[in-house]
Amino acid sequence: MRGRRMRHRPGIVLGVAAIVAAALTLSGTRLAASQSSMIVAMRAPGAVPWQEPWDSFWDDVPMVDLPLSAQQVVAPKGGGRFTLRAGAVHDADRVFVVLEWPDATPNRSMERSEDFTDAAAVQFPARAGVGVPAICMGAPDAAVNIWQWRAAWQSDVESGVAGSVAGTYPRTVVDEYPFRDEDVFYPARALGNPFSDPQRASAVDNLVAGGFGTLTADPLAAVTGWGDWRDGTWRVVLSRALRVGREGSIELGLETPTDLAFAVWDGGARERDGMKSVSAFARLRLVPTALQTRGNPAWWLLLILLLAPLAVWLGLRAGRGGA
Amino acid sequence: MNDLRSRPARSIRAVEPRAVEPRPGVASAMFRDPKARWILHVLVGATIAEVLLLRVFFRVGVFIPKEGTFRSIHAALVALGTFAFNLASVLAFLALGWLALDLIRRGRRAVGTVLALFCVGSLLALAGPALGPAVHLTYVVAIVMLAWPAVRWGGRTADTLAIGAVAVALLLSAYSGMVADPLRPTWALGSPPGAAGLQLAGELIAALSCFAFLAARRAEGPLGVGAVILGALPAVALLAAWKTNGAVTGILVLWTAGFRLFLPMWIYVAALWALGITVAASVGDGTGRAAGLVLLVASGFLVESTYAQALALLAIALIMAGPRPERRRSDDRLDRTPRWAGLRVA
Repeated sequence: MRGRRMRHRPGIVLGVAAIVAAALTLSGTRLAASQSSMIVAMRAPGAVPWQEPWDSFWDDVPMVDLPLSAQQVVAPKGGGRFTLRAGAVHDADRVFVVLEWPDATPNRSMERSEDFTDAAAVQFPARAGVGVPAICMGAPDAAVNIWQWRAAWQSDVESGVAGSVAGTYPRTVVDEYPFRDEDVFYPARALGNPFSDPQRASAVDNLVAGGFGTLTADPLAAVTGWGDWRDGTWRVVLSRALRVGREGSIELGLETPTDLAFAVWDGGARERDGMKSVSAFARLRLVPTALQTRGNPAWWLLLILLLAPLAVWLGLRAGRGGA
Repeated sequence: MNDLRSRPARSIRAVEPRAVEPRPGVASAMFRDPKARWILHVLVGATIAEVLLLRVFFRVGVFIPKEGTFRSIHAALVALGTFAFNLASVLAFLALGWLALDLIRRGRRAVGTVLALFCVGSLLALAGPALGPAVHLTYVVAIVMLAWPAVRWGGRTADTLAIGAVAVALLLSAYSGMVADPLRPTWALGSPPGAAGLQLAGELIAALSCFAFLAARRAEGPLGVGAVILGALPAVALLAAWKTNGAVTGILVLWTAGFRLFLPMWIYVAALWALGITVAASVGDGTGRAAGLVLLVASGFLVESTYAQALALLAIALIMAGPRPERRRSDDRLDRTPRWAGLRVA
């Protein structure tokens, strides 16, 4: 009865709707709940094999598919379109983020000027639980924390030494390099440039940024990681303590969802810097629920088997009702 | 009904075109009520304003230095777009709730209840993400129930194909969305297969459905040169934007319509043209198709918000209102009712 009366007074309904819309606009409220990709990190039952990305442990970690597209906002632009798979677990002390993406060839060196390394990065807001910062390196009032893994860094860690001219060009003949043992011969190394670190401890850089051109390394918030390329696919695990007490580095906690975004560089396509494939922001939530391993049913298959007859039944019923 | 569909005499059809009835139980009285249609008219207008001002202009504004007068203009237009978005969201849920009640009143309790549950769940989901998966599931069921009569009762092949394609595309997109569901890993394990692949397949189907809509409209009668020219405008705009700055256009299309543009660009341009022609040719024909298609575009392909889902459900309901009923010439002469957005404005 009431609905019928309202139907005859569209002006009143529209007026009320406009007032509600104005109130929503002024209060900054939205009458829509959006769903974004959520990565749920459950608690690992034991030690996490973070240095073995292809261990069967990771097969039990729920992964989310995230579409990546080319970075086209700031020069140098580049990247491609493909799908990254991402998941996470924690052990109450550390969080482990696992990434997986297709790459036809592994590129593990950047010793020559024409070499570019495969790499991947995770970007968080510097403060957990706050709104989504600008995806492009954050903003002055909304800094971001980036963990970047590089295949070349891992290669350095594995071999124990950073690349050298003799290592890269073994047949090079040089009579004499003056000052070869002095700082002036290695100015970047002398100044502490992380790119020139001969004693690299981690394959992952911890970076902080507050907008374009402000990217700064903070190695003290130790982030570790390990990657392995197999059959055209990279799988990389990044790990860090939940709390590190460093300004600009995110503090993670249980049940406090935070945003995160991903970027991937394909060294074979000469990608570096802003030439990368990026995802939109997803959400990460650490939960106390224990991760169960092996022997679980394919829930999605059960869901489909349950829903399909229900949908057909409802459809038939809907059709019959209409007739 | 089956008798009507089976073997209409060819000689009779040549003289008197077969009248195609609206599909049973789909066309709601709400959409037939001239006064209530005002709600839909304003909803369509607000949605278009929201798309143009908030999704397009606001996004483009990110790349423009906001200084001087432009800063004020930008702020005003974005505020207007925000208001349009809020108005559209209020009206979308209002219209959907209204449709649900109307369906229940007319005996279609199952689909009406599902739509009502979706509305209530969407509003409750504003309080937190816990209800998100349930709302998403309700949305999926609602799509199936709304679109099912098109499959069950058929009609013109192109019409059935178009509605079926839209439903399948939305279901594939919904599946991809559900894969990323926050609640999924807490009660089960394992990664569902093919989310990204099915999403791409859904995008292809969504693009192809535009041609099916055009074929369905063409089967009802001539399109008219005006509709062909007018319908080309969005496609020309897309092509021009793409040629001018493909990168920004790609982001805009993803932002506004949820398409990843993984197919050759000419397919999207042609599909948009086909859709534009269908909308232009359907305006004023007494069906809800034009309004439904506009809402469908506004809902986008990656329907990740409850607002977009509400638009998609309304769009399917409007499109399902059926083909244009056959009218006699005398009716055309007598009927001077002003028309807009495919609906009579009384």
